[in-house]
Amino acid sequence: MKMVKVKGRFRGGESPRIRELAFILNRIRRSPLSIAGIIMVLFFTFIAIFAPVLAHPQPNRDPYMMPRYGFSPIPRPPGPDFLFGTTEGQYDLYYGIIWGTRTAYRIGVLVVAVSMILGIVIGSIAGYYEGVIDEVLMRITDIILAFPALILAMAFVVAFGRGLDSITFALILVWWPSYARLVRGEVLKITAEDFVEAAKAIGCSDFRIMVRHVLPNTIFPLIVMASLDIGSVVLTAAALSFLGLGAPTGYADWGQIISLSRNWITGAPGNPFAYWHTYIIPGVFLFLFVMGWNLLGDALRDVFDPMIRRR
Amino acid sequence: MISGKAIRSPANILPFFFYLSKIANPYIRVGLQGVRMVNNIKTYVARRLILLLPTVLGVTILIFAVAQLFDPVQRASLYIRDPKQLRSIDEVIEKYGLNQPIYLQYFSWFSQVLQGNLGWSQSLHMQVIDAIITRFPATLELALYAAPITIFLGIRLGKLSAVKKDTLIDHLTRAFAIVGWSLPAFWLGIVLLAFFYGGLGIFAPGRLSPWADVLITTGEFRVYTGLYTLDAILNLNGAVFLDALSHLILPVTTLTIINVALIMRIMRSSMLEQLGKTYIIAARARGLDDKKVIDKHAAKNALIPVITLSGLLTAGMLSGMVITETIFEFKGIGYFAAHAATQLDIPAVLGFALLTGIIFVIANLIVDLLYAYIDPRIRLA
Repeated sequence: MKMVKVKGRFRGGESPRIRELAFILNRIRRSPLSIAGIIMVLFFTFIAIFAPVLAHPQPNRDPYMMPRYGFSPIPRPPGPDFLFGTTEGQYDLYYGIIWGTRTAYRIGVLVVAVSMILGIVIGSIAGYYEGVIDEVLMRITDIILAFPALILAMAFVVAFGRGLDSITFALILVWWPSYARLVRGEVLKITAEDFVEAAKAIGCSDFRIMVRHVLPNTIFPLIVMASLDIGSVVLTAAALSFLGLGAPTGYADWGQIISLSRNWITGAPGNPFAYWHTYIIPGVFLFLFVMGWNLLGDALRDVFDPMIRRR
Repeated sequence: MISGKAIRSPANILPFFFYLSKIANPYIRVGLQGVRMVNNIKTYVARRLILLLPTVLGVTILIFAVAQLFDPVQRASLYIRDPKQLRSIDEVIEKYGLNQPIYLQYFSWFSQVLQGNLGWSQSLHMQVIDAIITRFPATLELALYAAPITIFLGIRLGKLSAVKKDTLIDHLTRAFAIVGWSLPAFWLGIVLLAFFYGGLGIFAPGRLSPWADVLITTGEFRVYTGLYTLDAILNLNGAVFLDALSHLILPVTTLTIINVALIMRIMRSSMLEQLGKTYIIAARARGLDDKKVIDKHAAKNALIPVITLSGLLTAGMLSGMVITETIFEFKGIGYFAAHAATQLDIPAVLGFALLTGIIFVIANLIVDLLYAYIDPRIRLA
């Protein structure tokens, strides 16, 4: 095999795995957008993990409910008492945004992880056995993918009843088909390879072939898709919350916090941007969260996709 | 090819015919190919139409399945045409067999759908089908402005970005695409409203200013199509035209910024792929100027994948822009659906979802047919 000379700071030894890792690190290091994405994702992960430290929950209360300071509807500007000010109904914005990161992660990771597992199981069954099973399963995915995600999820949420759990469940129902399609395609491609034939010839069971030989080869496209999807899932969930289909008022959820600002966009007489903090701050957090994951997904695709990476 | 020998020896008649046939041959071949092409398109269309039926059925079954999550009393409103029936729900349940086995229920529901009965919307106090029909012009108007602008801009920017790869222009357009792709539509709408409406006092939400609304309801202004900018032109009323147009600016801007990134990305990568192909190198080697190579050769081929996306984008807009219409209080079917959803108006939400699904299935069909028309590799496969 021809040795690929690795350029850059990270140098690999003789082991191909370490060389691969060195290649990936160098590749990421050269792209400022990838680094920006990784920093953003790390930043939000940090906030989500240390939420109880960054914003102390009040004892004996659901930590996801934003604390209220008074009952006046008029938002208070950012100041020493409230770092980001308060929004409509005197909900503490800083607290809401910190704990909202956890809400975003919970929905994003849960929806993507469950959809991915469902997709792997269903997609590999369809791809491996082909025939009638494949046809039936793929027609089901066709039907779900015929709808725009937001619209179908909206119908499901109305059916399940308002709430974040309904949104999560609805998004899983809408999202798994794209994973099933991806896995099926990869499985079809890989089962045609000689090494699968060889595994069959030495008498490996279907399960072993699937788990040890086929699925490990589908993992990279799945990781890329998952990281790109976390952003879209959080965006769709926030849109549903914004429409008023999410958690009860006061729950730390970015979509809902943004919808609380809708009455305040015209500002006060003489000062049109008096309440800028109610919409700018939560919006920027949501936007950076989604962008961070999108950039990370792009970076991973550049690294993992053998078709475009060596250019 | 015409050989020189055949022309130089016209002594007997046979070579002349031979010569004629040589000229005609390509035309005959092209003609045959044309006939074959039409036949292929016909079989392709037929095949796609046959495949359409199970998908449409599947879409209705899915919506029906969602409806099954409700109990019969709630589901009864899916069948009601007249508010008087609301008082006798039990009769409705009996009449449409809501206690019967599920497959019989499906047939009874499906036959109602085929008759255009999507149920009674309690949030709007009218039949769902009427609500959709009365609100569709608003959505159509918005889509007619937003879709072409988005597609045109996306193609131009994608092309520019590919041609100027790795320059400052490329980096800027790509950064713009990433931002547009990650922006929450509802937040962008709020920020635009806060700046223009809140700050500068222009571009109010809604479809028309109050004075224009009054003009329309009093009957001096005849509504022909429900597309207010078009109606204003037909009424020769410049003031209403400008008013309607100014209400379109912010929603169209929002939709463009959010969606242009999708088209741009595809156009850029597709254009880069084409620019790397040998026929482009050959065209350049023949000394064709750069503009021609890019516009006539590369861009034309690069547009093929963009068609799919543009078709689906347009379908998405035509089926209602739930978020954008809600923020700008632009009362189209998306606005209607979002409000119905918050009031748990089941027939309205399901009717809207069904309509959306069917619009998308048809859009997919049209896109596939266009594809086949443009790219022979698809219909011959």
